[in-house]
Amino acid sequence: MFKKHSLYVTLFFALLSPYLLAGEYAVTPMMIEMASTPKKTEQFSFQVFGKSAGSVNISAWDMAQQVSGHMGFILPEKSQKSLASWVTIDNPNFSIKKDQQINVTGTITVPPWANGSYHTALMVEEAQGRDVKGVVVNVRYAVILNITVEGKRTRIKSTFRNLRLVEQDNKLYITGRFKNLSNRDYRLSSKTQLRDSNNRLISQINLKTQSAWQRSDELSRVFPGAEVELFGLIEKAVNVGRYQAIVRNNFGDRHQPTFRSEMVITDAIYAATAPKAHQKSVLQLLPEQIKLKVRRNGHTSSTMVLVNHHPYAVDVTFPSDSSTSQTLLKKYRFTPATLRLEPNERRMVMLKQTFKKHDTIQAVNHRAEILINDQVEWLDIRATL
Amino acid sequence: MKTINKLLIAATLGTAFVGQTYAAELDSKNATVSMSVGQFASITGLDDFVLSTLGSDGAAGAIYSGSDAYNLESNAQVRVSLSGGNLTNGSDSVSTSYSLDGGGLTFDTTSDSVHNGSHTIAASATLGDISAQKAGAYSTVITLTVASL
Repeated sequence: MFKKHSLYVTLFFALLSPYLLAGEYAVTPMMIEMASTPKKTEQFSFQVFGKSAGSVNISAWDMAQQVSGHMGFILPEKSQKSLASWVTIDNPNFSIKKDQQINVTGTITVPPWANGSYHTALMVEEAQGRDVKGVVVNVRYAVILNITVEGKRTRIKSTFRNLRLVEQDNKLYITGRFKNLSNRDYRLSSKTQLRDSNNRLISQINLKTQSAWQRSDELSRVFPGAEVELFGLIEKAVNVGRYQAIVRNNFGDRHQPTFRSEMVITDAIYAATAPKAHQKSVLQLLPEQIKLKVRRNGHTSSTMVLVNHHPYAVDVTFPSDSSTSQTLLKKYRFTPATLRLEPNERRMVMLKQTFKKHDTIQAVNHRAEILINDQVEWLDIRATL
Repeated sequence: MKTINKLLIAATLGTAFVGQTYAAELDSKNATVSMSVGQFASITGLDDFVLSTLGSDGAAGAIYSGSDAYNLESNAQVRVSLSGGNLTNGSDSVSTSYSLDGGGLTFDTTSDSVHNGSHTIAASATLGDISAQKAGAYSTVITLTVASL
């Protein structure tokens, strides 16, 4: 039974398709821009070149901007609101020979109420005549009619909402929704500042639509009535804590209302997205090797600075005479002996040592105990003369 | 006679020179020549294609794959997007996925640049259990859309 089924499935997959060539055409122009007024009928034309012989079908489709910023093509509805219903194509079906050029003409009639910018797609594709066997590839070219209808220009208006953090593939993104409430399409520049509780600028992020990121466009194009998702990568590692996100949108060269929202970097977000190197550098010792200043009678003194890069508070306990046995040292003391460093805090520490023999002064290393979230780690304090 | 000839030649050259001077004065206005080249795009060399498997034929979970290469030529940035459904045979279907150039379902040519390059379109179908789909010819139509937006 298994073998019989296997054989059938294999045979039919293997025998699929007569491998017909998909219709080969070239189309120009791919974008037709025109300005018009209500109640007016405009003419348009474009050319189809036959790279191989075939039958061509042309139909008008509506367009709608998707949340990603990409343009989606929709089969038209029978409604005046459907821009495709404004379009009449003089020669929507024709046969074309190899190397033949055919001029496609048509008209677009603007309804009296129209005002603003509109888009429709004239889809040029091979007339379906082939047997559907296997994976049949249908290539279509969207000739886009971009028509701007004169009329009262509405004030450029927009809304912004739903600003949030998104963790994906161990990277942290900031994302939000922008909606164009105007009757024309404009280009959007969106920048977000992330500021800490002291209002220090931690990171500045450009937000764009997926379409704009893919096209390497500087700005995101947003069409009338469309709501798009903007996002940007937070490239700098951001510590655990509360931050203020400030979004400034410039749409059609007009500043839009500033959007503010609190963002919280949780332990889980930090652990998932901060670079491992950043996570490991819990405490930074400056300098990396402390320099011993030799004084009289076998005394040395040194200073160092500890910086806490960790998102948590860190408790540091330095060694003392009683906690370690030093063969070279008569006595030594860290001041302060213990300290607590909050995230991003830095403190100076002094070390004074007295050697047992004046002539045997040499670099002695120490080790401090660090307590982070009830976990004990060690910090090596290396010295040099 | 020689003197007359010399005078005639001098007069002719002088007239020509003066004529050029007048012409230069008459042509002193600038003319702007402009031309607009429409956005152009063409896909060639794309065939329908078949899926086959290198694994156990017809076994549950067997993966069938196939691809084809095509050439895209354009004189401006264009977006190519792919849409398609599962391979079907009547009411039975086989889960099918697609990719362009081994990535997602859309790609954009470089902005503000011409393009003339080879690309691939690929499909992969995964069988369910043996009894999850009947034997037969499975097919689908996929659509590759070229647009300037």
